[in-house]
Amino acid sequence: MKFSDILGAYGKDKCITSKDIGIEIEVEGRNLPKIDNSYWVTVKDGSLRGESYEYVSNGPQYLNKVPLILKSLKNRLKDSELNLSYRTSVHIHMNMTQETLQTIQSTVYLYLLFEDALLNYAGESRKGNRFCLGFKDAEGLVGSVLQYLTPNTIMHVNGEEVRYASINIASLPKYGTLEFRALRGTVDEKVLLPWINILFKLREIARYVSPEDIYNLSMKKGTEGFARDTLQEYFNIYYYDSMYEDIDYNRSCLIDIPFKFTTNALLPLPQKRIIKQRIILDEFNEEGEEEQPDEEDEDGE
Amino acid sequence: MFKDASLDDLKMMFAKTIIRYKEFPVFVEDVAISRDEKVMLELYSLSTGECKWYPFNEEDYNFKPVRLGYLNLRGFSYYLYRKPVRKYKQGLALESLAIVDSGYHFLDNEERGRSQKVYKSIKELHSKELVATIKGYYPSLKDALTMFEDMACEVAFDRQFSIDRKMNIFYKGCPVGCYEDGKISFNKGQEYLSNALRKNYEI
Repeated sequence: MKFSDILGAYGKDKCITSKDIGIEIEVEGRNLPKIDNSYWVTVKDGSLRGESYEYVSNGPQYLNKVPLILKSLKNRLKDSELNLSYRTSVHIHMNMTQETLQTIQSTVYLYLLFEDALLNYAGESRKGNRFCLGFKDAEGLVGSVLQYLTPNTIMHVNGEEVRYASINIASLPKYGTLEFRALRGTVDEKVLLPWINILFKLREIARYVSPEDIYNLSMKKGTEGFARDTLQEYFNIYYYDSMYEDIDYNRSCLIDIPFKFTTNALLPLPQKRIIKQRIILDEFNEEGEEEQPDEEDEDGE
Repeated sequence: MFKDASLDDLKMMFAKTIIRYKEFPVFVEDVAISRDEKVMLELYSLSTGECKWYPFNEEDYNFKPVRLGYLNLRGFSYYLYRKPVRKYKQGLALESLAIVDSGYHFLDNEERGRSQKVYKSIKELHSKELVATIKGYYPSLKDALTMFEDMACEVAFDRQFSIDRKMNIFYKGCPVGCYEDGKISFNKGQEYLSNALRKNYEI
């Protein structure tokens, strides 16, 4: 059963899409344009200060369009003076409507196992930030994951209890997405693309393994082998000195997840298929020149 | 990081919360501007009970959320955790704190009365014992067992585990097994929790 079946049963058909991603980028600064085109729309956000906007991708987008979409935003902001303070951030909405509940569980579990490495990359100002709390900062998230990521409860996630975790599961019943809130404010594709790639790599791995499988694989392969197999070509980007200790510690703190969300299968990680899904920086440089957003929309502000 | 934050923002984020000053847990009683226009924080030290004003020099503070877990307090233990809720508070505030009184149903009436009073006192966020929780200081299981001779009803020996006088074992506030014949036995279906008890699992 796909998550779309559950959403459909609750009349949330509007959430169901085959597209991959939604992006929200908060910025503060000067001379910020109001953008309204086929790629981006502009909204105000109460958590920001001074001249500020949140640029939101115009509906769900395909992953292979992301380099182009980011380039479009960067071009529009080229005359702006950005102040990417601790209040600004990037939120990635990952479409889960075409996934099984097990894939959702496994994506969340993998993310939490690697949360320290991901928060490390996300930026110093994002560690322990009250708008994207890690599960060790706010352990209530783990209980909510166990409570709500089941067929009977997933549509009843209490947003007030979980929304300000670095991974927001309240967006599952609302938008059909997992929201990743950790990345610092940036419009730099060299920061954004490795972040988006690793998140979607976790989802791709999660399609083949249950949380129980992930736990068993991590024990069987050892923490270093498990980390290398999971992060693959991004290992060097996300590696830091105490990464293995942090993964071990997280696995212990999250021990309930693999033993509640179990399966009998033990599958190898599908490495070749995963690599196909990534979007690479070269594509950003190549494709970004080919297609431009609908300028008429922008001029029609 | 907070250099451009207004006084109102700083009050919203830190007043009436627990943060760390020079790595020691403190409760921020108030945030104000001094006569010479400096931001000042009134800090209650959980360790010493002293309350003083200190300048807001960011390098002296650690604003990241404190690590929680079991709290041992006056013969009872309570499992504390933070909820990722929107309350605008960066430090640990009562609004985002959950307190699980794990052993309550295993107590007799007189003990329940005492436990409720202790439970209420946690909500003031001034308990000295919170320092041990935040820093991860717990008695060993062996030492915990000796504390029952001093009227203790329940003692946490780990951030995630506690034991009561009747030798029930609790995990994050739920009964999961018992201690008998010198070892911990978990209930059926919860044997995996032995993995969380491994040596050095909690640093």
